[in-house]
Amino acid sequence: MSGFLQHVVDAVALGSLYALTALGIGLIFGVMRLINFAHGDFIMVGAFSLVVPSSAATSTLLIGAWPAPLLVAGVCAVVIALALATERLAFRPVRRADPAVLLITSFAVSFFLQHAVIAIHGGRPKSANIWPNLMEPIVIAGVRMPQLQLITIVVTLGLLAALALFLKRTDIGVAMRAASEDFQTARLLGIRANYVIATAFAISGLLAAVVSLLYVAQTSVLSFQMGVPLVLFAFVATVVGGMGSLAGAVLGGFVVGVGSVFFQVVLPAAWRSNRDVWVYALVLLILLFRPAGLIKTKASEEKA
Amino acid sequence: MAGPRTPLKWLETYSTPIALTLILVGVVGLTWASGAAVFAQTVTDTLIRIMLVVGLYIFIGNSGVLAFGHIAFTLIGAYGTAWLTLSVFKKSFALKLPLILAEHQYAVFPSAIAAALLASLVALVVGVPIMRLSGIAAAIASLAVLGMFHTFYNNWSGWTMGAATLPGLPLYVDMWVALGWVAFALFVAFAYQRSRFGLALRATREDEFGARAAGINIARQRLIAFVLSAFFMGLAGVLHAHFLGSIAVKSFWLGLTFTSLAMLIIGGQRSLTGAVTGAVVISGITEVLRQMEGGFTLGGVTLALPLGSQELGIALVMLLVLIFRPAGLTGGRELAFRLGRRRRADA
Amino acid sequence: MTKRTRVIAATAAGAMMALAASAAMAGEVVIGFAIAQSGWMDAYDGPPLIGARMAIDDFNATGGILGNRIRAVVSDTKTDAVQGAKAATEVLAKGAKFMVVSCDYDMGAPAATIANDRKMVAISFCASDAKMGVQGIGPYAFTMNTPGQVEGAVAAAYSWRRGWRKAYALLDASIEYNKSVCHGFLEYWKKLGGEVVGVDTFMQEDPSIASQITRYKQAAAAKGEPDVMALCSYVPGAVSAIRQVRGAGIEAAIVSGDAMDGTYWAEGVPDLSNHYAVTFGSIYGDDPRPEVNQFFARYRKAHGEPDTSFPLNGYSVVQAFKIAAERAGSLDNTKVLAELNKFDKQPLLWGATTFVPDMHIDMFHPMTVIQIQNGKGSFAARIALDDPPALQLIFPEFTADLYE
Repeated sequence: MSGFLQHVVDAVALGSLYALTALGIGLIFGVMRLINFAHGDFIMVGAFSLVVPSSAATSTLLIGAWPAPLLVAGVCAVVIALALATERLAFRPVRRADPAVLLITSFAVSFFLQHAVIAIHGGRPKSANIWPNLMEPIVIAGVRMPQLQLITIVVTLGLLAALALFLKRTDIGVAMRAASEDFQTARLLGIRANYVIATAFAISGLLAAVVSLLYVAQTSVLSFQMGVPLVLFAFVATVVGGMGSLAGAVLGGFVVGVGSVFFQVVLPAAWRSNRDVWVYALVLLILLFRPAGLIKTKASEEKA
Repeated sequence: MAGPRTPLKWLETYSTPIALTLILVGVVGLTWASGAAVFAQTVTDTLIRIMLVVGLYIFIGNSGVLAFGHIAFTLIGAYGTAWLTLSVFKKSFALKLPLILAEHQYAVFPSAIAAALLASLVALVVGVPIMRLSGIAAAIASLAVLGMFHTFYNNWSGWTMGAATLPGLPLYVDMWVALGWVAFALFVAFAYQRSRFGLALRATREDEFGARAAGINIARQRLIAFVLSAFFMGLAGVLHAHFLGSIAVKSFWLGLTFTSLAMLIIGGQRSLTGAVTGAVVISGITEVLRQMEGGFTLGGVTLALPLGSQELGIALVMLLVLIFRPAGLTGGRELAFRLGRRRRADA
Repeated sequence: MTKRTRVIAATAAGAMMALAASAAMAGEVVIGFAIAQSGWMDAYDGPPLIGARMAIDDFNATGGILGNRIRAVVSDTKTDAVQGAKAATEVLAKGAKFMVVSCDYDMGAPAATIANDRKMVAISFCASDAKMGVQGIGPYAFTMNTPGQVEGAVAAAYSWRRGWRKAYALLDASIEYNKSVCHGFLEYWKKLGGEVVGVDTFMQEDPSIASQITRYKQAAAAKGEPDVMALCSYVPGAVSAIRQVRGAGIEAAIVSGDAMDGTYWAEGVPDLSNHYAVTFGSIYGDDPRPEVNQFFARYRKAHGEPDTSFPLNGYSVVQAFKIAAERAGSLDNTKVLAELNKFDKQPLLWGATTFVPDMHIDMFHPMTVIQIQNGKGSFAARIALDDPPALQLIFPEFTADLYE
């Protein structure tokens, strides 16, 4: 039984990472109808901000050497600034263009960010050791958990709760939800687009920074491609959960994370490297039976 | 249709693919005459990309559905031609294919067609359920299909050598071969978009509800475009395989997906000329920047862009085009010419 | 038309570049390096290239090859397959007589294919794959390495020598090389009579291997704590895995292939101990072969601290061309090929090398085991297998016969 519980914890922890990433993407999609593939690169830049920019093979900690509260604040500041900058410079000018153009713009931004990091840090992956003591396990009810897994789950729940409050109680939060549910009407009602969108990007940046810290604490990996698998699964999760629905993005993230762990555990050894085939198949099935995603919103009912 | 069908009229109707082909013939001819071997490779690679983008255009341009998974068909086409054209000797080392493949080596031309048809067949099978989905769901579903094929081929060691590069394919694709196939693709794509199928699909792009009311079966029209598009995506895979002589599953994944989509959007997703323009311009600028990274002389001084500038440069160019010309470089217009005197307009 | 003008301009530029390419001069032999100088592969091609240049300097000081001065031309593959093919064409246009390709089978394949097509000898710096040879690319392709299989087998032999008897295999199933290392390890381990507690797979990009660790712990509880874990992966996924494994309190020794050579990657696992990598030589000044220590002392002085022992292979590639050409008495590729095919424990800087007509990768090569203790690297052992595994080209999934 404790083995099963252990797997549940593993699944929820992985799902949390995907959920946070999916939420970052879902927020932007909600207010702008933009699928931001550069989100993964926000995460990546946040990770690289931990070390001194240099093309040496070994890395020296920069922000990574600061005490924890400053470290967190530092990385958040970097990523939020990056998110706001890309919104202002790359996405605002194309705001009215059709979804394909928006998508390719986000891809171009992603490509640019990745190669900028390569130019500064070199193409070789690096390692950054932050908070190593978080890897130590604690045992709760027979379940062994690295402290980091517990922190991941707690932080995710906390952020979700805070975000939910923000969206319900503050003016700007309500405006964001309105835009997410029904973009056209929201514009007509005079929601200040610039302010709402910038806030969405700032929150999205914050989420990316958190994912970045959790990811580096877990793996110590800094690689210019590190954001790609995260954003790929998060993107899929957003659609599975229901595009336009923030709760859906979170749900989708957990579905993908849990599904991934489930197949990892259940498949026989010889099939395990094909795990992702099963995860994608699951996604396909969900889409075929619920094309609008698991949680329907008005947005998804706009087009048949 | 009123009016006599004269050869002149035919030329004028098909002026887009004719003009595009003539321009490409000009480039290929000049390169061939100059004898520049490395540049010839660049031209061949660009032609293969044109094939790729035209394949994408056939579906995305006409349907307005931004599908992500088309590179799955390029993957299928590339390995399909490998299974058919690799020598029996080479297959015997590591591959475990069924006898009909393991003990035979087939000629390259029919193999190319067969591999492309295989891609189309797969498109038909996966397309039937997927084309019933709405825009964004269909796009993600096609991405899931790409993901499945990518992972599956990556582990299908007996047939694909798994994640390893599969070497030893006959090298027969040079500029002229690629040009021939690209010309074929241009004419077929153009004929399709002017046919009643293409026009019906375009109608759904503009106004889905209106088209449905007019009796157009959206799912079926999208499926037709999807299958035709898959044929050319598969063909692009075949050309790539026989240009490089080796193929690897990892080449047919997100990088190629986004590069080809970017070329289409930047050229202008609504026209065939846009597809070709996007591929040529992006490839051209990439190559120029790459040469500049290698070093060039300006007024007696040798300069070189720092390594990595090429990628940053092309990303900036793409962003600029998207910001200032969101409808793409061609804005949905087709390259065309008129011949003879203008007649009174036909119906 | 803007587009057409651009295209014509690009054509003209390309033509000018090609015409400006210089051909080889008399009394000179050009070696063409179609390798990565940018992109992530640069990290693996750069050091061997330095080693190769050191060899070129050494040999030019004593008359070059058959009295011909050696000149290197390098073309950047930019870690891209198509560019790899173009790099090969470019070095050919610049008069290359022999070709050297990337330290990776997938990356080097396009260039090696072109060389082989022209009946030109192409040697990869250090691809650990038999497909970079007769059975894959063709009869003119070689690689200055052993296959990953042999590295895995050496890891197994070393583990046995240390008295370890229970093993666990954790495979990163993303690339062929990893599969070959784990396959080699498990097959040799079984031959020695070792016990396999369990096997598992992960993917290079997995953000978490918590499930894999859970499974490890369950297997350890059921069958006994493993003494050694064969971690068949590469940087950075391997670093992530090691961090999580050690963080979970798993103290078993970890063995890996040459992808984990060096200590530059160990930032993420502070005070790492009991890590072993099978590679070509010790860069820490304590290799039992004095010529290796001298080589790295020279390297250190001129180029800074070496990250890995791969420069040895770069040096050896140029050595191989020289020795084969001098034995053939000619620079003709067919004759040089014939001599290379007769290398029988031929002393080269990276070790005694054997090539035969149907094996262009050295299955018998002695390998060096490097250990990391408390974050510091040092020499551990040098092992040559008398009974290396049979040459194999592809490694399908974990089959039950390997671990049950």
